[in-house]
Amino acid sequence: MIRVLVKVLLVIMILFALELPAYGLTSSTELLEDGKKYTGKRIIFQGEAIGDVMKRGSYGWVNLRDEEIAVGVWAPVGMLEKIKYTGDYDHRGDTVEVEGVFSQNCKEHEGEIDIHAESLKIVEAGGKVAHSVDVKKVLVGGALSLLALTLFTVNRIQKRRTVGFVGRGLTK
Amino acid sequence: MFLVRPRLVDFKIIGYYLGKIILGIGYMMAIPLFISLFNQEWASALDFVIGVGLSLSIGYLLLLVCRTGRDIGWIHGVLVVPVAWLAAMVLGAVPLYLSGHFLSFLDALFDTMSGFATTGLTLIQDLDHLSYGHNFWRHLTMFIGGQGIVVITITLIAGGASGIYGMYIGEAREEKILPNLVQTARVIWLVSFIFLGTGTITLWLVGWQAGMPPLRALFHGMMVFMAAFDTGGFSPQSQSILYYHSIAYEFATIPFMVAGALNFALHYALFTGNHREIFKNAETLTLAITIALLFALTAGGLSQLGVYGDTVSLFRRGFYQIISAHTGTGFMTIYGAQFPNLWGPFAMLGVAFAMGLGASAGSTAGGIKALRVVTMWKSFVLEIKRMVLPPSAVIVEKYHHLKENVIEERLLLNAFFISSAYILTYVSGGVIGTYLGYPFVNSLFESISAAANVGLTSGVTAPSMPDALKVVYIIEMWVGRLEFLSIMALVGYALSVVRGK
Repeated sequence: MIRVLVKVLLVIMILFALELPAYGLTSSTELLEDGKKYTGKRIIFQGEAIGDVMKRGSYGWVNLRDEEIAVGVWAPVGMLEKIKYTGDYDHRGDTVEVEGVFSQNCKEHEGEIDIHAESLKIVEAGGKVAHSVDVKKVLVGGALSLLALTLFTVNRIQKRRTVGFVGRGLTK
Repeated sequence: MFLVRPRLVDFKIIGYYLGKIILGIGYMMAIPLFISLFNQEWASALDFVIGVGLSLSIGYLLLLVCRTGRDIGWIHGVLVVPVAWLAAMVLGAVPLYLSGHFLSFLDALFDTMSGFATTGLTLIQDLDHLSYGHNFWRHLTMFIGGQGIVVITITLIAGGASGIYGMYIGEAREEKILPNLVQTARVIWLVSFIFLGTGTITLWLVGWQAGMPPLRALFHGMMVFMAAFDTGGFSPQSQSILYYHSIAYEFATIPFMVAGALNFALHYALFTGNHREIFKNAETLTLAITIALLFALTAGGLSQLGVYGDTVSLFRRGFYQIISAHTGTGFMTIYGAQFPNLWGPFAMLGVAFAMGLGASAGSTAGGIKALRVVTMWKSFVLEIKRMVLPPSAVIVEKYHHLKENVIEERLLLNAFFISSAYILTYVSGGVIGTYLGYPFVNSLFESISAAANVGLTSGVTAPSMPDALKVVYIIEMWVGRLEFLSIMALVGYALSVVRGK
C-alpha cells in the first residue's frame, strides 16, 4: 500500500514538474543577468511582439520585448498566428505571454538565447498608432526652408557677380 | 616655440569649405526625408525638413560670409576636417533628437557621432518603433562617414588645390588610389556603390527567405549592408543581428564586413584584374593571422568556462564576434550583458584585442590597423637582424602592399606614434569609466570599442550612463576616426589663435 502511495505521489510530482513553470513571470534582465539559473527551466515571459513574425516551416520566430530587452521566442506557426500586430513605427504590437523553456545557449539554435514556447496567449491586443503633426515643427520647418532658399538665391547672385567681375578682368 | 596668429582670411577659407561640407550633409539629409514621405511618415518627414533647412541655411550663410578669392592651403584642408565632423555631428543630430527617441540632445549627438565615425554604440530609446526615415538616416550617417564626409566634398569639388589633399589626409586617408584625388574619391564611391547593389540584393533575399515580408527585407537588407560594409554596426532593430535568428543572415553579413575592412586600393587592384594581390598583400595576410589567433584565444576562454556545449555553437557565436570586432563593425549575435556575465574576462580579452587592432588602412574600419602592425613587426625583425648580423651587412626589410615597400624611419615613427595614441586613448577611457563606477574590464572594453570605432558593448553604453562618460566616448569616437593628426593640428591652431604673434 505504501509503495503504491509513494508511486502515486512520485507520478503527481513528475506531472507537476512538467506542467508547472519553475519560475513565474520572468523579466529579460533576470534572464540575461542570471541566465544559468533559468536555463532548461520553464518560465513565463511577457512582452510586446516587435518587428516581424518570421515563419520557418512549421515553426517560427517572434521577438518579444519587455521593459528592457527583446528576447527571441521559437514557437509553432499555429501559436504565432494568434499575433495580429507587431510593433513598429505605425503599430503597437500585441502584448504576448509565453510559457516555455528558456536557454541561454540553445543547442538546437547554435548557442542562441531563446525561449521555446509551449503556450502563447495574447494579453493585450495591439493596434495602429497615430502620429500627430506638430504645428510648431511645421512653422520652424517652413521658416528654415524659406531662409535656405533665400540664402541660396543670394549666394547664386553673389557668385555670378564675382565670376562676372573676374571674367571681365575687373578683379584679381 | 613661435606661433603665427592666423589672419581673418584663414578663418574665411576654413569657413568657406566648412560651408561646402555642411551643404553636403544637408543634401544627404534629403534622402531620409524622401524615405519618410514614401512611407507616409509625415511627422517624421517634418524632422528632416527642419534638419535640411537648418543645414542648408548654415551652409549657404558660411559661403556668403566667407567667400574669398584665396585658394585653400594644405593646413586649411587639415583643419577643416575635425571642425566639419563636429558640425556634421550637431546638424545630423537635429532630426534624430526631434524624433523623440532620445532622452537628451547629448544622446542624439552621441548617436550621430557614433554613426559618422562608423562606431555603432547607441543611446537610442525604443529603436523598434523608430520610423523608416530616422532609421535610414542613422544608417546613412555610417555610409557617409565610412567613405568619408570629405570624400563626398572632394567628389563634388573638382579641382586640384593642395588644400583638398590636406582635407583628404585630415580624414585619415593617406593613399591615393589614382594620381588625381577627384578620381580617387570617385573610385571609392564606385567600389562602394557596386557593393551597395550586391550587398542589398543578397541580404534582401536572405532576409526574405528567413521569413520577413519582401519590402521590409529589402529595407533591412540595405540598412544592414550599409552598417556591415562601412563597419558601422548600427542595426534596424534593438537586438542587432540576433533579431533575425538566422545563421544564413549572419554568414551573409560576413563577406561585406570583411570587404569593408579591406583597403579601397586593394579593391581597386582586384577590380582591375590584379587578383593575386589579395594573397600577397601584407595587410590581408596579417588580418588572416590575427583573426585566427584571436579566435583561438576567445575560443579558449569560452571552452575553459564551458559556455557553449558544442563546437558549432562556439564557432557560430565566437567566430562571428571576432570578425565583427576585428573588422570594426560591432554587429552582435549575443547580448552586451552576456560578455561579462557569460563569456568572462578571458574571451572578452580576445574580442578586445581584435577591436583594438582593427582592420586595414584606407578602409572604412578604425583601430590601430594591420599596416601599422606589419610596419612595427618588420622593424622588430630589422632590429633583431641588426643585432645578429655583422655591422657591415646591409639590411633591408620589406613588405608587400600593392608594391614592394621598404621599412623607413618615417613610416615606423608614424606607426609607433599613431599606435601609442590609440593605446593611450583606450586606457584613458577605461580609467575614466572605472572612476565613474564601472568595473575596469567592462569600461576598458567599452573604451576600446569607442576609440577603435567598433560598437560592441559590454553593457556600459546606456542612456543612464553619466553625461561625462558620454562626452568622453564622443571624443574617443571622433579622435579615433580621424586618427589624431588633424585634431592635433586643430589644437595647435587654437593655441596659435590665443598665443600667436
